This record gives sequence, C-alpha cells and structure tokens, in this order.
Amino acid sequence: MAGGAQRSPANAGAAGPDDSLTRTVGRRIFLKVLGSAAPAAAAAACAPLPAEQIIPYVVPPEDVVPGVAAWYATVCGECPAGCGMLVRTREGRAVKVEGNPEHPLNRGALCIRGQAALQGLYNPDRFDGPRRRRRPGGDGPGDGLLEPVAWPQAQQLLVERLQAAREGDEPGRIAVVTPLLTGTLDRLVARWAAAVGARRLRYEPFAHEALRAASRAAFGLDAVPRYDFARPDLVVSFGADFLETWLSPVEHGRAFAAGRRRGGGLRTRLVQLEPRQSLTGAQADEWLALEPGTEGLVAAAMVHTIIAERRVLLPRAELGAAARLFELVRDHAPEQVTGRTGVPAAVIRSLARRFADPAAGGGRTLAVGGGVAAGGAVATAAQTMVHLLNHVAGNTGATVAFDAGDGPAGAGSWGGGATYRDLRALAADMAAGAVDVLLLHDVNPVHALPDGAGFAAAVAGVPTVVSTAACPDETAALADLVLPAHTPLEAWGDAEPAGGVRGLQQPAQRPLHDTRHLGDILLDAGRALGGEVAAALPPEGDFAALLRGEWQAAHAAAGGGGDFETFWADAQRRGGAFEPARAAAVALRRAVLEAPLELDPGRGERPFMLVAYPSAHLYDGRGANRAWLQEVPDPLLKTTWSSWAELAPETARVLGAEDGQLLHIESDHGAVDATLLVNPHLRPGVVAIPLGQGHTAYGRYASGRGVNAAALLDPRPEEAGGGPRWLGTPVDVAPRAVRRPVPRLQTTFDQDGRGIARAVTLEELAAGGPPAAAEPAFSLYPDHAHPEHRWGMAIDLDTCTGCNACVAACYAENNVPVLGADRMRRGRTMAWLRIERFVEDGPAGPDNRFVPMLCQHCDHAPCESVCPTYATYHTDEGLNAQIYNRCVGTRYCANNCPYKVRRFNWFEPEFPAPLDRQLNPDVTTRTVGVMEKCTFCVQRIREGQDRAQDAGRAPRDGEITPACAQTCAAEAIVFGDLNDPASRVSRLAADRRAYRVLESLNTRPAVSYLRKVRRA
Amino acid sequence: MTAERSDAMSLGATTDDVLRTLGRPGGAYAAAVVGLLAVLAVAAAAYARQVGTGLGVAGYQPPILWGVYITNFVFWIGITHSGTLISAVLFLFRARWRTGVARASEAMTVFAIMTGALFPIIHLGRPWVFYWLMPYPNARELWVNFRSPIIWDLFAIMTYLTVSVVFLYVGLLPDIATARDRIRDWRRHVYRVLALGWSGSDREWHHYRSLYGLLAALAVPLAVSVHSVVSWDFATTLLPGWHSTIFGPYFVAGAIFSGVAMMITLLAPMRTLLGLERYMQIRHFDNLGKLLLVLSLVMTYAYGMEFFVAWYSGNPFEQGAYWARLTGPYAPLTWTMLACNSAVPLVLIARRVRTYLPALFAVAILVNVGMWLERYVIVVSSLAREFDPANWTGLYYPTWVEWAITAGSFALFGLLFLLFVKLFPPIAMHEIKEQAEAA
Repeated sequence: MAGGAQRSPANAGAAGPDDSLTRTVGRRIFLKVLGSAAPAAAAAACAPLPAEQIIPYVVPPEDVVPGVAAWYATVCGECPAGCGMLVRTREGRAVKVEGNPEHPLNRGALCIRGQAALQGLYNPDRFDGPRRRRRPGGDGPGDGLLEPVAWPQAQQLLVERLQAAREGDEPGRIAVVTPLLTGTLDRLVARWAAAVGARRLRYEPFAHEALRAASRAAFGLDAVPRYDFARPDLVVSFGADFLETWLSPVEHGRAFAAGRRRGGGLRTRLVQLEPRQSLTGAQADEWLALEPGTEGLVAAAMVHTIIAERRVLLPRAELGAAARLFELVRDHAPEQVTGRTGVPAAVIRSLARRFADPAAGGGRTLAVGGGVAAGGAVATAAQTMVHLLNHVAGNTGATVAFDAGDGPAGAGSWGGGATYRDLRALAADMAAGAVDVLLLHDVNPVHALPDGAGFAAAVAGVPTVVSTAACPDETAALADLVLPAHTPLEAWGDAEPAGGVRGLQQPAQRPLHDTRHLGDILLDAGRALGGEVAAALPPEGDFAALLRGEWQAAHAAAGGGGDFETFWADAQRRGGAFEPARAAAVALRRAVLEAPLELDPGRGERPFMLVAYPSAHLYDGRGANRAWLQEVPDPLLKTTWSSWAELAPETARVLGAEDGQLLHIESDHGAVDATLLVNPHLRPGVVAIPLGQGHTAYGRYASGRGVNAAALLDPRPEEAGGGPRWLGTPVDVAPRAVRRPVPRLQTTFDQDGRGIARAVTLEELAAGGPPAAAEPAFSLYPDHAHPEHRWGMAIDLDTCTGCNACVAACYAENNVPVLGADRMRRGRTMAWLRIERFVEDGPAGPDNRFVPMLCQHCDHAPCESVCPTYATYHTDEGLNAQIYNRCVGTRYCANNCPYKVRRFNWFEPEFPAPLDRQLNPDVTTRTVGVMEKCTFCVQRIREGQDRAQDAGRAPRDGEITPACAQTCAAEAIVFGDLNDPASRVSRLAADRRAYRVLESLNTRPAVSYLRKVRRA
Repeated sequence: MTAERSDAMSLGATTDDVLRTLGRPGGAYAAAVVGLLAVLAVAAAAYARQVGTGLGVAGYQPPILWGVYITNFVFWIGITHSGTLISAVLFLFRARWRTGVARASEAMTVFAIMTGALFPIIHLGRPWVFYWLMPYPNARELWVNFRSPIIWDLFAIMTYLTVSVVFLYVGLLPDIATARDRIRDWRRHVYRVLALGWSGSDREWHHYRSLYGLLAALAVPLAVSVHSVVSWDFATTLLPGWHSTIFGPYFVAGAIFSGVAMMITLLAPMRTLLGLERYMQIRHFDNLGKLLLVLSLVMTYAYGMEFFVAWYSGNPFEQGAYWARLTGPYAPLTWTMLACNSAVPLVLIARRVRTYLPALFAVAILVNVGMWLERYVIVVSSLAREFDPANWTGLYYPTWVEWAITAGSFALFGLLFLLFVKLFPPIAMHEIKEQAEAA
C-alpha cells in the first residue's frame, strides 16, 4: 500500500504485512495461474485470443490464506451516523460488511443501507477513471460528452481552473461542497478551502436544521442532542423516524430494543404523533395522526398541562423559568389546540400527565421531535417546544444530553453543517456568476434539493464544475471535470460522529477503478498551486500519512501512555479509539422564554398537504443505485423498485381514485404523476410521497424510476432554522384515467385470524402468559435423530421493527440474485428471508406486527417428502438442506411448504460485473431451474464448527450467528443449538411468549417466534 | 340410418369398408396434418425459448408455482380413461356395442398418455435431467425418493402406458394381418413385421382371446390406480384445496368423464369423415351420452362433497381456500367449470339430444372445457390462497409460451390420432365379423 499507513485486518494478531500483492492478484487470476499454466502454450497456439502473460505467485502475500477471510475494521460511509463496520474480504475482494461489535454506536449491528455499502463499491455504473467534458470551443468535438482523461492531466486541469479563479482579488470564487465529513478529511478540506480562499459547505439534505436551531435557541449549542432510548419508560416522538433515517438509527434501534426488553413490566411505551405512520410509528403503542406541522402545538399543550397541573420536574433554582414558560404557552391549553392538531384534548392531557410524573421522578421519559416529516413552516419553533417539554419533565441532561465538544461545532457530526438556506445562497451566487469553480464531493444537490431552489440552473452559471462522484449522478452529469474519488470501502479516513467516538476507516480492498482519494486530490492540487496554499498543507506525504500523523499527534496530546505503533495497530484492529462520551453541562437560555413562538404552520390555498418523507431504504436518494435497496420491499407498503403517492382511504374515496391509478399532483412549484397507494395509516387530506426516487442519471438501477417529490416542494427555507420544508406544501390532486400499479410483494396486511403474527398483552404476561398450545405429537414416521446439534432460531416479534436489515444481509451473505422491477411485478423475489407485515386493530391506533419469515427448518418438513430426487433432505444437525445440483425443478417442495419460503430460479441469475466480485465464495451461486432457500447460513455454521474444532472445543452458544441475526440492531433474532438446554435459543423457545407459526400442521419448525407484547 | 343391425353385412364388405379408410388421404386430411404440424412447430419454438431462457417465460406468479402444464398433465391423463373404460370394462362385461368404438378409444388412450406424460417434463425447471426421476443404477449412487408422489406417478404412468400399448397392439394383431394380406403399398412391410406371422389358426385365436381378456382385466385396475395416483400429487400435500381424501375417486370419476367426452369429440367427426356410419351407429353415441350424463351426476356429487367437507371440517384454512374458489379472483373459472360439468350435461336426459350428433358433440366439447378448467381451478386457485395471507398476491395467467405449448399438446394428440387412422384399421374388423358370424 502506497503511503504512510498500512491496513490491519481485524482478525489478525497484529498489523499486517504489506499486502499489495493481494490487491493485484485476485482469486480469479490466482486460479488462472493454477489452472492454465500447462495448457497455456497449447491454447496460445490454436486459440484466436492473444497470448496472455501470466505471472505465478512467487512470493505469496503473508496476509492472504486462500479460502480464509480477512476482516478489516472501517467506518460505514452510507450516512452521517458513522457506525463502525467490519469488512470481510476473501482473496482481496470485499464480500460482506458487518457491524463492528467494538464500536460504541452500533455494537455489531448495521442497517440495510450499511449492508448495501458493497453495492456502492461494486456498482456497475461507477466511473472507472477521470473524465473531462468536451465543450464546444475546446480542441475536441464539442458534443458535451464526457471523455476519459489521465489523472495527471485531470489534476492539471483542476489546478489551472483553481488558479484562474484565484487570480481576481475577490475571494470566495471557489466553492467546495462536501457531505458532513468529520475527522481528518474534514479538517483537511477546511484547511485547503481556507488556503485557496474557497467557501466551504458541509451539506446534507437531512441536516436537521430546525433541531440545531432549536438547540441554539434553547441551550446556545448548534448541535443535535444525544438521546437515550434505552432508559425512558415513555418515549413521545413527534414525527421522528428514529429507527429508520433520523440521526443514528442503528444506535437508537439497539437502545430502543433494550428498553423494550427490560422485563418486569418495564417495556418502553412509544407514543408517535405524525401525519403518516412511519416504520418507527409502526412500533408505537399509541399512534396519533396529527395535522401536518402542528407538532409544536401538541408539545405546547403538554407543557401547558404539566405546568398548570404542577407536575414540573425542575430543580428548585429553575422553577422560576416554569412561570415564564407558562406565559409562552398560555394560549395553548389542550382544548385550544385540539381543533388545529386533530388530537383530542383528553389524549394530550393524559399524555402530559404520564410524561411528567412527579411520583416517578424526572428523566424517566423522552420527547423527540424531527425527522424530515416534521420539517414544516414552523419546524424550529416546534423543536424548541420539544426541548422545553423535555426540560420541564426533567429530561435535559438525563435522556437528552449534549456531547461535550470534540466535534467541529460543539458536538457530533451534525453541528456546523450547512443549512438549506446556505445552499440557496450558494445557488444564488452561482446563478449570478460569482462562483468560478464549484467542487462537489459525494453530494447530489441537483436531485435532493427542491427543484424550486434552482440549483441545477445555477450550476450553468459556474464556468468550472468539478465532481468527485464515484458513480454518475444528476450533479456529476453537469460537471465539466469528473475526478472520481474512492468509495468509503477503498479509502482511508476517520469519523468522529459522536463524543468520545473516533472511528478509523481502513480501506477494505485496493481501489476497484482508477480513482483517487479526495484528500490526495486536494493535497496535490494545493501543492501544485504553490504559495500560501502549499504552505498551509503538509509538505509531503499522502492523505494516509496525514491521517496517521493526526492520530499520532492526538495520541501524544492525550498523553496516551505507551507506544504509538501499538496504539495504532490496536485502533486499526478495533476500528478506532473509543472513550466514554462526556456530556456538556447545558442550561436553558432565558431568551428562549421571552420571545413568543409561532407554532401554527397555517394552511395553504390548495386542498391537500404534501408530506415528502425519507425512504427507509434510499435515505435522501443516495441509496437508489444500490439494487438491494430497490429490490427489498419497502418495510411498510411492501413495494419494490418504485415510488408512489399515498392517500388515506377517505381521501381516495372522495377523489374517486383507486389503488394503482395514476394521480396528478400539482403544487405552486411543480407537478408530478405518481401511482396511488391507499394507506389507511395516513391523515386524511395529506398526500405522502417517499423521497429518493425519480433519478434521471444515477445509473441503471435508479434512473427513470418513480418520481422525485422535490419537484413539488416549496423552495423557501424555513424561517428560523433555514431548513427545507419537506412537509406542508399545499398541493392539488387529480386522479388520471391511467392505471400503473407498482410492484408489491404483499398486498394484504390482514392475517385473517390465522395466528401467523401473535401478540400477548402485558397483563396476560403478568398473569402467567398465554396458554401453551398443545403440540401435536403424532407421526407415522420415526423422528429424526440429532445426535450432536439441532440448530434453531428464536425471533422476538416484540423487538423486531421490520427494518429489513436482515434481508439485505441475507442477500449479501448468500449470493441472492436481484431480479428487477419487471420480474418483481410477478412476485418472483429470490429473498430467502422476508418480513411479513400484519396489522390488527389496537386499542390506540394500528397494531403492526412484523414477522421475519425464513425457512423454518422443520423437523417434519413437508418439502422433504415430496422431492422426487432427494434434492432436499434433513441433516443430522436439524437443517433442511437443499442440494442445488440434484434439483430438477419440480417446484413441488415449494408448493408443499406452508411458509412459502422456497425460491425458484426462473431465470439464470445475473450479477453484472463488477457486482460478481461481491459474491461470497463460500456459497454456491445457483443456476436456472433449481430451487433455493435459507440454509441457516450453513457456511457460517461450518466455519464456527471448524474454528471450535481447531481450538479443540465445542462451539460456544452465540459463537455462530447467521447473517440475519448478526446485523439485527434489536437482537431480535437468536440462533443456537436446540440440543443444548442452556443455550439462549433453547430458553427462548421455551419462553411463555414462544409459539411456532402454523404449529397445527405438525411441521415442527426449528424457528420459534416470541409474541409481540402489546398494551391492552 | 336404415341398416341398424349388422347381421346383413357380409364379412368381405366389412373388410372392404374398413380398409378403404386406409386409402390415399384426401386434401382435407393433408390440410389437417399440415395445420397440426404448424401448431406443433409454434409449440416447439415456444418450448425452445422456455428451455433456453428459463421457466420464467411462463406466467408463474409465486406462490403459484404450478400452472397450465400440470393442468394439461392431469387433463390428458384423465382423457386416457376412455380407452380402458370403453374397451376393457365393456369387453369384460360383454357389452357388444363397444365393438365399433373400442379401437379408436384404445388408440386415444395411448396417445393421450404419450401427450400427457410430456407435461411433467415440460414443467421441470431443468428438463434436461428429467431422467433423474427414474430409479436407475448410476455411478453417483443416487436413488429416487419413493416417498414422493411424483415417483409414484412415474411408475403408474409408465405401467399404464405399457399395458395400454400392449392392449392396443394385441387387439390390432388380427387386423394388421388382414391389412398385410390386402394392402400392397410400402405399408405391407410394416404390417408384415407387426403381424408377427399371424395366420389365423385356431391355436392363435385361442391364445389371442385369453391374452386379450387378461390384458383387459389388467387395464381396468390400472386405470383406476393411475388417476388415483395422479390425485395423490395433490391429496398428499398439506395444501388446503388439495389435501382431501375424496381426491382418489373424485379424480378417477373426473377422468372417465373427460375421457368419454373426448371420445365423443373425436368419434363424431371421424364417423362422418371416414364414412363409418355403419359401424359407429347412433345407438353407440346414445350409450356414450348416457354414460356422460351419469358421470356428470357423479361429478356434481363430488363437487358438493368437496365443498361440504371443507365447510364441515371447521378448518379455517380449508374453508378459506374453498370460499376463495367460489368468490375469489378465480371464481369466474370455477363457475364456468361448474356450468360445463354439472349443468350443461343435464340436457342429455333427453334422448333427442343424445341421438342428435351435433348437440352431443357440443355438450362433449363443453365438458372438455369444463374438465380442463376444473384442473386449472384445483391447481391454481388452491396455490393462490394457502396458509399465509402475506403471500396472497397477484393473479396467475398463462403467457403465450404456455398457450402455445398447450395448443401444441392438442395438435400432437390430433396428429397422432390422424396418423393412426390412416395407418391402422380404426375399427376392430375381426370383432365385427365375429359378431356378425355369431348373429
């Protein structure tokens, strides 16, 4: 590896040796060498192919043992949360990513977007090298297409343009837009930008502007708090989708599940108020569909109740603040806000009483507000009110805490980010010709910003647009110069996403294409510019050396004892350096109590209100070119490869529109046509459209799919916070006489009383639990013997959130092919694991139940007896095995499977290069015409058994985990040996909540489900 | 038709009449053969596409993993029952009216098995390894799973095919010998080989009679078993709508029903086209009509029982499946099927309908349609509404590939039948003569 730093695998004893050979000689080449040495001469003589020069492994890399995986610890770059990641590499190729168990944020878990990071690396549409646009007036044809250019020329071009832009006296003619980077790269970009006189924006479409503005107003910190979801007994969420996209979903998911699992009746109660039920809202015990944008009014009414009923939980010194606060909310008694919010006064009052309960003490509850679903016209005021609500309930400093400032502007990765208003200002300057060079790294504002912001048009006013996009996107499509940067899995870096957390990002493999590190692009350009720019940058060494240098300096500054090499190797192995977070002492600012807050967003002229919500899979749209994220069905509506517009059934009826019909949706700013999906969990009068689709130039998987709700959005920034208005744009909706149904993998959420997804109330549990179902024991066949192990699984429906991370993990681990929209329209998914969603009527809103459904590895498997060729059979470890090359494809097994978990290869599976490099070499790829299904990750079982055998012991409980269980943030999936009565899975299978799906069929599944716990 | 009785017929005239049908084919015959070959070519192209691309070119919509191919398989195997029933059962009961139609029905049996047996292979994901379904000694030391009803199917169908072919061939022997002696073109070489040196000695006739009787006695239980085994493909699964003890007799009755209907469908035109009015008389059709009527009543009873048992079981899965059959997305097909199989055949109560060939032919066609739909409904609608509502998604409808292959199966069956009637005496001459002598 060039540069000053070497990677170190997480599973190596110490820092690894130079492994550069691995990067050049991959498995295929290695096998070619092995296999083709002898016939090579003969082949060269008669084959029309040119003779290839082949070089044998003279010196094998010490790091690489063929057939043994090397794991590298790194940082996930899929969103700003900065989770720790381990990358499994085989013979130099990254084949799987998993959460880093040592990382304090995610502790081994990853979300679906993290799992799909591999498809960013291996995306078949990536730039394979730098590109220059052929402009009219240049030396080549002026057809406006991108042409390849070599790196030296590309760097030279960049330097020339930068030089030209710096020649005038006016500073700021260069603009650099990056995502919310943290750590060394962030500091380098800042230094570089300052040195070249560039303005620099740390831009995220979801930048939580309102929440940061509210924190500034209430506590004087431009920061997003850290929320504790594990401790509170009651969580009130005003539209925060904290389990999907909001802030740090994996961290929240882990904590929330821990809170629900406490036992002894302490299960966290979640109350969610939002106009459209999110996946987070689907976990709620009480779900209230409020009028969009009126979150602040409900929070104010809760504050009103708490103060009026003397339930304030503040230290004595601060009690005076309560009186002033009451003045602020005087006109917001529950009765006064009911009409506007649509939430009954009694409900608000009861919620307030539970929220601040002097008998229980302070710090036992948590209110969170935000997510883009609460990004309306008065978002900052609403967020401020949520802060105040937490404050009067004594939660500030307890369940709501601010990290003491290591980060750029106080805390975490969110502080100091550019607001949407900043982007608009930049766009205005660009349109006015005040920007000469625009350098964009890993951002796609052309797609993500509201069309009305005019960013795309403004780019035309910039003479030189430089993009470092790894994949083509809408913004790179406007660039004059494309200098593709490494994807996060190929790059060095570090991340400081939260206080005390410094994640170290190691490249998991050698760059796939002719790309460079952003740091190196900037360093080289800066040095070439010379003068004060070069002086401001380190004189030599690449970015990797700079990174190592910074860590060394930090190690020295911290007075860290011991040798730096040891520390560095340890950080590489562990994925960073982690310390407990220090909380900042915060006090409520007086000023916030003095200025009145306008909490009513008002209503527009048009009859409907738009809610543009973030997609749990695609985030702001960056996930749209990852085929897994498109293929895995939406967690709530089970749609794939599409976007749509949701209306409540009442609204659809009034409009005379039917499911699958095309709707014409028009705002003052634009219009789109989208397919109607009727969603009963939506406030009437609201049109909800997911964000993230509607790409035009984002590669084969994303382009031309669905609509981009950004076309409709009100482009004005929210007054106080400067964020975009994702919610509340007034729209007209007219059904069109065209049907264009979207592909969906589940169309009914009614389980028809069949007991697939079961629940139990807390009261029933307290009274001894549900009656155990009598298991039918009769069988004509002798039982299977399981002399050593019987592998089994237990899935807790109470903590499963239906987030789909396990589904993507299964795709990655087991080489499950992606089929695309047309084949999904026929329901031909290949997923070995799916999440079924069922909705029952609950006492306070819908009762959503998510059932991960996979092969149940039945002891009396109906599939086994009908297979004519023994392609499926029962192993002596209790697995229901499938032998692909013995299968003739009668599909009889799948017909006889009551769980419908067997998948048939209707076509030859396709893995367009280089996605084929992601394939797990431990798992056979299947061919056309054979059946496949979940194996309980038999390759991981074997690996665990081999490891145990090498150590001369039996596998330990919990040592072997299938990919689905491994990535689950909620730890809802537990795998183990049912033969061992002490194993976790055995104990869970005997739990009072345990049942087996379709038990009455006497299939005797190895998978037990634990009933969801609900409130009576 | 004036000469209702065959007493007056001279033996020679019978031979002449029958062998005349083996004469040079006319234009209509050639056109029919070309047309069927064209359909078969389209089917072959569709099948080539299916093998080359994968079964995905068919319309399967999981969880509906079986469709038209299995429907066709059950349908064609059902058709086979005409032959055994008409020929063997009536032979054993000494029902003399069978003579005119026995040969054609035996041939139909053989061709329907040949057509139907293709479908389990067409339906395979990897048809090129279909022989793995057969237990044969192999170097991989692999064996088939005898618990699988597909293996039972294989044995039942192969046995049935073998016995049916032998039964047809043995019945043909004396007539082939006659043809050998009378026909002078290239076919005589074929007949010479096939006649096995038949000379018509007493000894040969003696052996012939005992063998034919034995085979008839063997064919009848086989016919019952083969469709029972086919029904077990469904009945031994867990699936609501399939898992039912009624399926054995229900499928056998249905098979005979569809077989008789197919016989009428083929014999009515053949009678006119080949000028065999003297041998296939209206009273034969009258009898077939009565048979069809009785079987229709049996089927109606079976349908009633199927629904009753589902309701009476109290099993929500069963009830859901059958309720969906009557009211769900496939309900129009269910009701069409009930109309064709239970309502329409009731017109056969009237003797005038039974003896008026166009009407009888129309009823038979509708029964054919109804029985095909019955299999479609059983296969598809049960799979569409099984245990877990999460899987109740889209509608299965066949693609052009499946329609082409289905049409191809009818073309193949028709073609084989057409070739047969030009190559072999379509009526058992020796039996007619024997009866005439006895009379």
